[in-house]
Amino acid sequence: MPPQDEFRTLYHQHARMVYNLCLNYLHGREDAQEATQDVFVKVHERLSGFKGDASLGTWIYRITINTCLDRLKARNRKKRSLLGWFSLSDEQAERSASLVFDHPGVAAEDREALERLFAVVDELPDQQKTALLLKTTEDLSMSAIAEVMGLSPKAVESLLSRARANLRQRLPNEG
Amino acid sequence: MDTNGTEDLLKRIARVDPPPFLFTRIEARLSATVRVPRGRLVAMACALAALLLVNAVILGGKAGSSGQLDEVADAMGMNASNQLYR
Repeated sequence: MPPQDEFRTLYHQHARMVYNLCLNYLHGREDAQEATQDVFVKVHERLSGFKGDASLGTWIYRITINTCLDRLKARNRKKRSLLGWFSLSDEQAERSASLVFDHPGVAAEDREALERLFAVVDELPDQQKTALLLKTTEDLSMSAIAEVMGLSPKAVESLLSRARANLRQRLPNEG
Repeated sequence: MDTNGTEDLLKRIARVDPPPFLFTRIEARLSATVRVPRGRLVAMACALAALLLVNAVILGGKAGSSGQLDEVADAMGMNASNQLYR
């Protein structure tokens, strides 16, 4: 198969997973589209160096997670600088830093609750956030999460229980 | 909101298809990326190093010849210094 056709097949096999994971990290359509493009450009550049020590899916998961975490860091830096330098309000800074919630997979009746929940999930440390998203939105098994994150299943369990404890602490009790 | 409730809420997020134009955009980005071959990079680095070396040699030679300049200036009764009051 010519390399271009091979890449096209690879894209069609993994694009849905990459795009949905990007949406769950970034909660915005445009941001997720840009992140998905970044992921596949990186995949294309690094494919020749892929050693096969993990499955292709796991490798693409890792690239996606790192790309999303980098974008989140850049976005938070932008928001902080907008708040600090231009004295914008929190809402104005969020809009300018493209932090507006625009997730096409969220039903209208869940939108408000998920927007609040994601605001708290975004504050979790990177590893806790990743473990939680892979477990809930991706529905991966403990061993699959462990493989993607390069940790032992025990370490993933511990990350998940810390993430849950943090969520309990930070979320307002609404019953 | 308890954690079971929050996890159920996260699990309720539907999976969506990426927009159809995304692959075209990726292809456009890939074709716009100019890849410089490693050999050309090495050649450019060597050329830059050679240029710097030639400059260093020329400047070193000029620094060494400042004594000759003073002799010529003395012989012609001129002041080689750029100091006004000497």
